[in-house]
Amino acid sequence: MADLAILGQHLLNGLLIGCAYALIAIGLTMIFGVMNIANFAHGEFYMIGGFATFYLVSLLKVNYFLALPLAVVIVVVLAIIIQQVIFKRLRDAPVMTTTLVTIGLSLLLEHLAHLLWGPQPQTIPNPFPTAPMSFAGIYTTPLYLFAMAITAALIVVGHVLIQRTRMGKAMRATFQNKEAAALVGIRIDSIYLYAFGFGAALAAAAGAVLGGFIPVEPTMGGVATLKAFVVVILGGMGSFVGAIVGGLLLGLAEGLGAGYMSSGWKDAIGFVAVILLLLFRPDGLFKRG
Amino acid sequence: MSALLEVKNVSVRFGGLMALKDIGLAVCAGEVLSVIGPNGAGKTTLFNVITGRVRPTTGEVLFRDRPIHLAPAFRIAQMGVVRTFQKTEVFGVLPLMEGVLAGALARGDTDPEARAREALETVGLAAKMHLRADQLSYGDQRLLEIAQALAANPTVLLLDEPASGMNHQESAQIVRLIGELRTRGFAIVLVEHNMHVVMSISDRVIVLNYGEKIAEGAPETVRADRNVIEAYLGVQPPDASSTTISGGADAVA
Amino acid sequence: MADIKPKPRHPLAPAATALVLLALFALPQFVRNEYLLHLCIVSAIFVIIALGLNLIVGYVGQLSLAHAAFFALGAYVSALLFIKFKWSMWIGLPAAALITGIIAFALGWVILRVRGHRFVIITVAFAEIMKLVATNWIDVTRGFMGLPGLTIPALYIPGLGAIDLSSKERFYYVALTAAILTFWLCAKLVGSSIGRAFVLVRENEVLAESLGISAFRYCMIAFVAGAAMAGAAGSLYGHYVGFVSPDLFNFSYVTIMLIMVILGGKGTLIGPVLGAVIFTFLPELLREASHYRMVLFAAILILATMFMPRGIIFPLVEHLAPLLPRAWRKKP
Repeated sequence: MADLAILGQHLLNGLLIGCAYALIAIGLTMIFGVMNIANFAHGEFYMIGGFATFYLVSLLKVNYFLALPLAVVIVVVLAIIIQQVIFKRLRDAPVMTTTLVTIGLSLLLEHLAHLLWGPQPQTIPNPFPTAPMSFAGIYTTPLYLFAMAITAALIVVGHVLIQRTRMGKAMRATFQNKEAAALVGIRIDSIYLYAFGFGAALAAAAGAVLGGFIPVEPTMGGVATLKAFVVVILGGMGSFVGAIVGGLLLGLAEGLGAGYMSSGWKDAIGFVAVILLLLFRPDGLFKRG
Repeated sequence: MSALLEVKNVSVRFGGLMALKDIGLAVCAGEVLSVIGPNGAGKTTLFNVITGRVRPTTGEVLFRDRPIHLAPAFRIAQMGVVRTFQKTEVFGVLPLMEGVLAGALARGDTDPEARAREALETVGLAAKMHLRADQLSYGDQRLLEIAQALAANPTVLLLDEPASGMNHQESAQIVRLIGELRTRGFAIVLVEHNMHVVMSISDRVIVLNYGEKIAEGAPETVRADRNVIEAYLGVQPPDASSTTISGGADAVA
Repeated sequence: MADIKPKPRHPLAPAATALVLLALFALPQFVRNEYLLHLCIVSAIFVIIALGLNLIVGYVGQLSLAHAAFFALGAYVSALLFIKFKWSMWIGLPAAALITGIIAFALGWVILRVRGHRFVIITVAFAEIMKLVATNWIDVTRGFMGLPGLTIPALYIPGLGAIDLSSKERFYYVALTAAILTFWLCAKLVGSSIGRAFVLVRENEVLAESLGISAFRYCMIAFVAGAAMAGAAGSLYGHYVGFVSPDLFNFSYVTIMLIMVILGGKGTLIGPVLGAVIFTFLPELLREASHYRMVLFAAILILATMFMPRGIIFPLVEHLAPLLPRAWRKKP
């Protein structure tokens, strides 16, 4: 039974990370599908979401539960500015151009963060009691459960927004066929704005919510971006379901990996999986959608 | 005369859609075979299958009696089956010569420039040799595409709507060029909507509709064929014996 | 732009080349400052890296982010051969180039079948795997502790004995020779039919394939050649600096390499050279303000990519230096 408990523990540890990966990957998929941009700066939205929450709570003494959505709003505003100033001009630019710009953006944001907030990792102060709880030998904390609940809820909300709302449908239409979408009257510039903002919002939310136990620091964006790309490729580069399932699977796999292998190697799981996938199933695990 | 290029029982399925159903054709050296049909009939898919950009779901493509339908696209071109595209494809900002000699380069030709010059002369662009591809007029770019194909030293030429968007004078030039190429011994498969061109230059015509072959034969025979008229005009011909497609087909296509 | 007629080779071209080479070789006579010599050496090493990256990014037109990983890989190979077998850099360098080339071949075989976004991301994944291996395979690589103690070998010339090359002045010649050799190789490659095929693949891959050019084959050639050059540069760098660690796999290296190629002028031969030199010297001038510097570079990268696709340096050079041999200024 103890072994089962240990297994369960590793799975639970991985589950939250998986939800975060899924959230970030959904946004990345949206930006990739609608704007045809591989957003290397995506992880920076995650990072800034975390920092914004931290400063709202610790400096401005904003209530924790208010700070979370506020931080997301701040990041969305930033995303809108970036979209209007930069990506609007790059509407039909080639892959190399847009990729280089997002790489530059990633660097810019990361080093700005260094300058503004310093390299020290910061944990976001939160009102939850720190005493661990346990069920059947598996330990967790109230904050952890809260974070899980929020990220899971956001995944569902994101899914509903994409599948059920008019805006979501418009975004998916643009995804499938940009020219046709423009022809039926969908305003492409608005769609781009929404897609970019939507993606940034989800990533920022993940950062805000996870910042309570994963300390926020300027370099964390890079890793998050990489993992999100891994998830997006595993999921097939166009599938939202793939992003969600892929994110959860990667999180769980890493949880198990960290538990049973040395933690240094766990990061390799995703990367190796991507290369293996390319060898055997070049079209990804899921179909476009 | 034995066929240089043969398509045998080729079907292509994309997801739930049958783009081509059991298509067969054969073309010999010094022959012009035209493939016509309404938009969406599968003509470009046919070219894609022959040139290796799309794998047939069933059936095979034979070149000089050897199956080529599973070979990679560039290999098929090197063997001597070369195409042009429906949407003009040139090498952008490169000087004309650099783009035209591409095919010769690919085959390891010792003097690709000479081959390029010959090709440009054949299509009548030799005087503009020093320009860039994107500085040419639309009509000249279409000719450039043919020059590019010729420099690759093909045996079979697949021309995808070479006369599209051209005025009367330019299409006449295309007809002359195709005739010249036929005399030189190329096997030519032509996809065209311009009926004047098709009627003046084709030895045989095949008609596709919804992925199926609905008629085959000499141009005049095909023009009078009931099924063909129906496919193009969407109506039964009023009088089976006397109706032919003339300018009407141009208007519809 | 006026139509392009073939220009006659400028009569002063060979003289200009000779002059430049002379100046480069005479440099240590005039530049005595150890620190400046150090920068010259590092520039020369980065010229090799930039020329290699330029083959992939500038000539066939694929964005590879694995280049820094090949650089670091070469450094590790050379270091391990030195430490385990006492093989000097004279063997380590070609071995590093060879082994890096082989790994690039294997990787390219798998990943060059996809292009565009997926290719870019896979190259990043590969680089991360390499970094993780270097960090975690402690038995071989000693992880974060790195591999210290690398030395610059002596040059044995029959009749003259062993010439010590470890001074900055002397090693500069080694690095310079390697850089010139690399430049010459690239010029030969780019001028050959392989180089012309590179450009055709970059300009219109579908069309090139339909005329018989295998995009995969030419992407592979550029990828492997570029990687081998990066590996060789890694070996030089490792022995020069004397120490190899997983830090060499940091993403910041790949960014600076990209900046050198893109801002210098991708798709030309002189562009990456200038980019390498300028972006080795420039950061050093701003050394104290490393985060400000990166913010500035990042902004420049974004602006240059958006508004100056031919780079910043190259158009400037074009206006200022009509005497350079035409082949060096060959437009993409």
